[in-house]
Amino acid sequence: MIRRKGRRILVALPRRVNASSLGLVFGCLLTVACTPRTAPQPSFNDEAGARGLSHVNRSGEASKHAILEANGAGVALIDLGTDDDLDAVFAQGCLSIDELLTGGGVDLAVFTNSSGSFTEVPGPGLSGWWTGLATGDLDSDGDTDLVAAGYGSLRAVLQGPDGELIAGDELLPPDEQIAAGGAPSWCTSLATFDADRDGHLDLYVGRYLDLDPNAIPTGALGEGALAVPCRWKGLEVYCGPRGLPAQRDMLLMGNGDGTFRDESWRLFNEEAGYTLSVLPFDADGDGDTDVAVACDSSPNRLWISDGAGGFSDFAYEAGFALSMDGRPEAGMGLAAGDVDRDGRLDLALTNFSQEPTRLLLGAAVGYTDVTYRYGLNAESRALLSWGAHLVDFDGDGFLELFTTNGHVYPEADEELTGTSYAQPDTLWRLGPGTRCERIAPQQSDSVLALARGTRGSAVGDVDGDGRPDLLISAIDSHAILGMNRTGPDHARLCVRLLGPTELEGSAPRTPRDGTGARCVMIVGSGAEEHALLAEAFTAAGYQSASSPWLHFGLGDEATFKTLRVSWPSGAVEELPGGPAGRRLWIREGEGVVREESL
Amino acid sequence: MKFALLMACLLAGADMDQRARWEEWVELGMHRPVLAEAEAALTEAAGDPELLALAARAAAASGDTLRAERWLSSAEGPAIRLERARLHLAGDRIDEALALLLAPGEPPRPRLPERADGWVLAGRALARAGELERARPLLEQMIARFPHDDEAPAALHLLAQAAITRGDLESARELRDRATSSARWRAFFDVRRRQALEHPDDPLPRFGVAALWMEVGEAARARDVLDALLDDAPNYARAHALRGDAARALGDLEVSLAAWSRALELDGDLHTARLNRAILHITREDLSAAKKDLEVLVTLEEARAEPLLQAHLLFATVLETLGDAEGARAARARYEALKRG
Repeated sequence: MIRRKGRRILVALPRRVNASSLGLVFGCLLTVACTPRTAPQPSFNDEAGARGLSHVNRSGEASKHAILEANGAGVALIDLGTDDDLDAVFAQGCLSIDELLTGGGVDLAVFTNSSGSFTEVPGPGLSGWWTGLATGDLDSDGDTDLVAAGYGSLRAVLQGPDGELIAGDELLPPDEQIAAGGAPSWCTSLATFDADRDGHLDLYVGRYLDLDPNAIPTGALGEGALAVPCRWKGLEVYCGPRGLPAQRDMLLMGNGDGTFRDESWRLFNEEAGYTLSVLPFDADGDGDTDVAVACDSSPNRLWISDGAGGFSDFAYEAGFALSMDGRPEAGMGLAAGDVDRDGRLDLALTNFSQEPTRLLLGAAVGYTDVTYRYGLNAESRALLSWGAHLVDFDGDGFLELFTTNGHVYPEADEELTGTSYAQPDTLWRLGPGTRCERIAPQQSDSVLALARGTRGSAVGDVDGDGRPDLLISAIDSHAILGMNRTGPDHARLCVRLLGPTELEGSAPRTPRDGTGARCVMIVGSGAEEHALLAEAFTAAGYQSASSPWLHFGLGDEATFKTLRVSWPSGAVEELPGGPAGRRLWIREGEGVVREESL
Repeated sequence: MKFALLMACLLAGADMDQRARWEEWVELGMHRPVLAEAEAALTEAAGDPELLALAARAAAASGDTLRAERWLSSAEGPAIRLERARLHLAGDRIDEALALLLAPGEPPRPRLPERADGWVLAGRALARAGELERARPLLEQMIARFPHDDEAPAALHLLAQAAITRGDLESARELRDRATSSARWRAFFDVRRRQALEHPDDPLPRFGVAALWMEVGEAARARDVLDALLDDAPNYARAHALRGDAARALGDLEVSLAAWSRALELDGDLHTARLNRAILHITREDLSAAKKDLEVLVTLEEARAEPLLQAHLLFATVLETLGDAEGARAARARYEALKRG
């Protein structure tokens, strides 16, 4: 039985009861096809060094006396040179805050990929303390560009004709830049998406808090008897985020040429929060793009688009704003994917230690929190998790949840904290059953075995074998490249969705790089028939950008039956089935324009 | 009762009862000092289930589940049962938690209705099992019985989510507002208690605790805090003023009058205390005393607006009653003019 997707309604709490606002719809019943599996164990051996990825993250001093030093940096997998392989870009911090103030900062680190081996090349020549990265075709020229977010800077970085990265405009107003003095704008995660469906990529910029680099608070916030000590579990730690002023997020509308205009007013009644992660996706299934925002120590937000570029926050109504106990948690990372294969995108949300990584299943109204029923609370409470990805790494047709982990406080290694500073990354199976199953590392050099403090992470097929790999930034440490060595392998299909090469007609239009397109693949037959759903967005994990490729696992099925693409323009195209084991390029209005065997 | 005891113990410093002290530390997330005392204390007070339960909670929150289980295996009782249920919930063993928390039969009833945790943990377990609607009566009862418990915001939030799920959006909005307000109050309350522990010699945090109790209408709890505070800081004028407010709320007008008078002796600028004393004088028909206070108030710049603006009207009423018709007319005219702005 195929579960067709019903449009989901998110209902705002009204000031007065309005019968028409009770327009709840009933979604389809969930019947997961439970296929007995011979499950190959995914294995992600760190091959960064062997493949030339020599990047070492810098994030201030090891003692972490300022919150800026603890949050680490993001990564991006991006095709530079349009040669169809994935190159790596790392956001980078400084050795100390003093270095930023006196020396001006550092550049992004860029590594190009040639047949799976990396070589460092000159960066775009930026100078700052860089945190987050976003990718997308900002100038609609057919290649992928970059936006670098930082502490006191936000820069567009366009890709030149030879694949080189060229520094573009500073997107922050002068008084919010580091050079202005005082507390600068602190940008964290950011995402490219088409907010107003004009075919030009826009930018949601998450921001964190006011921190004056010349007056870092230590010991306590406030004075005298009413001071609040900066302590965690009785140990003195850096101050923040609580007690430091939160910054408002930004919505920058793209002009289609790599420039932007600030239209943050489109975020209606926004309250400042400590944003750490941003995830665009179609939350309510109405064809436009919404934005989930994970906030640290303040309520998360779920911006629901009105289809014309205006956004209202429905996080509370959706059961996403707060923990199940009504407390704001330390939201760090977000991932979306159809875990229960019911045609609705579900959410994973990482949090602080002693707070679970949450799993929220899309329901007829909002989300159903199944964290505890899946056993994720017990599994994840000792971890402080950042980047999250819901990806079918082993190709069995069910999504796994990957998280990067590592505590913010070096003091976590003291006794009686219930956690530790360095933590291995984690991978859980989430199906076909409804209890998560943690996947143990197969080798000692697996990313699942290495205890480090990882932060940003990106997913993409680095070596062209069709399996999604992991690029990870570890704080104050070497980058990690977890190569997916799952085997014996299941059938897979990789899909790249692309918009028209020329923007024609009036809105709604699909961006040239296909951002926001949604793909539903029908696989299997009879009782085993099921739908696999994915959306084309690069913002993923924490402060990071993944490959735009969609990775479908078909399990033991050698073919798929149909493939339906819903484009941001509103067009829906259904393509005939075919064999797995391929990489497909699909362009709106043209169907499959290129294919290769994996 | 628990909070009154806690604060009384807190103010007694080193003599604070061990159980009350541990309860407060656990509530404030200060597990380390509980565990520092636990091994020795539990040897002395062998088998005390309340202390064992608190120590087990601190151990579990510190990642030492084995120690928590060891302590819980050495005793029985309601507190032990609740902690075992809490451990099951932390381990996502929802059915095991429900077996400990719910009495047999329908509708769901807690096994331990005398404790706030008995209600809220049962409601939480049902909610985690996806049975929000069955959790609802438990959470409603918890709020009715223990409105200021540290779990009250969580219970209200779950009730709001249940209302959203069943499409009762008006109730959801009201419950959300209550949850937000309760959480905000609780956050201030916990911060002030932490500050009181950090600065035991400074009266300000304890005054803040008393003010927060007054804010939610718990005058007796405020009174207990203030009495202890004034033992330590007898010349703290604002505490005397608030003590007067608490006494008035409790109907003890003699104590009110004495407290406000002492506050004004110490600080003549406590205008609200003076206004309150004037109103009390009027109630007791001591109009000359009321007139004295009101004469001071009506000359103040602050009395040009609420809440002191009413002093002008009261002054007019008092003068009229005392036979000063002209003075009363002038006072009333001034009141009307100020009210019009």
